[in-house]
Amino acid sequence: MIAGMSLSIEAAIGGALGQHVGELESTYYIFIIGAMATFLVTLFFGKGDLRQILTVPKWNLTGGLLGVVYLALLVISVTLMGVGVSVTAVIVGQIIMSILIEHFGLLGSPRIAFNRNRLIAVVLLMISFVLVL
Amino acid sequence: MNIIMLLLPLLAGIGLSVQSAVNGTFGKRVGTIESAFFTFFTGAIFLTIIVNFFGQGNILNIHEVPKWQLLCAIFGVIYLSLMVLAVPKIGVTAAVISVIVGQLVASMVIDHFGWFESEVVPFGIKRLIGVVLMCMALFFVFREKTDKSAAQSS
Repeated sequence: MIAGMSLSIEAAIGGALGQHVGELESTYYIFIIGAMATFLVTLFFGKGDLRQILTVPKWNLTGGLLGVVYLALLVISVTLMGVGVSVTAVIVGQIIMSILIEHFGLLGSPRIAFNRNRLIAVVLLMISFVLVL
Repeated sequence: MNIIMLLLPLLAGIGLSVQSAVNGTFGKRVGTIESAFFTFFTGAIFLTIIVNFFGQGNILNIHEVPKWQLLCAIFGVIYLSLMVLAVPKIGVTAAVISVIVGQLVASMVIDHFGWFESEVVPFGIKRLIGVVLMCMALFFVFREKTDKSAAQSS
């Protein structure tokens, strides 16, 4: 939830920044500063092993590209359809995909079958979106 | 035409979930902050190319904007690092749904007070019911989790 709150704050501030420097440029700035900040933290506090990058399966390395694809598609659809519809569609896509990933155990995730609890949770979320957005 | 346009944000959401799953798996091998670094680093490379070809704004205006607007990057780092940490522990769906609830709650607070130059949208009864339903949804997602670990330990 803290991650989600950070994402909203990032979106709000990034949006304000985007009005001054352009949407793509504001995203670019976030990635550059993000890379520099995480580089410094890795250098001083990193306990992992970056050399593993060479040995992990190649699909493990697509995270950065996916982040850019997400942002690019979002910028286009916000221009075409407005924030409300875009955000709702993004959330629907996110929920469906994460449930599919776990249901079939894709991308190295443990397998968790879709069940009644999850169905109830999804229905409750959908109703709350209608109320909130 | 409208259906095709709706596919764009839908694909964006799919991309975001796939990213969480991929980074969770990747983070287990190289470490949390290392995975976040690599994601920002490769993302920055792709964006360098994209901004060069399609950028219509002016990145140099960054010197003129109020300094608080430059903090957005730090929140991006917090999000990405926490996701890499959470996904291997609680799973993609639970992590994604928690993020969405956190996002909506924070957006409502930002809307209500009109922080960060956003438009003021007061918190009303509809939004309150929405929050209650979201909390119930979280309860159901995590109840299943505790059911399962209880079943495993017995």
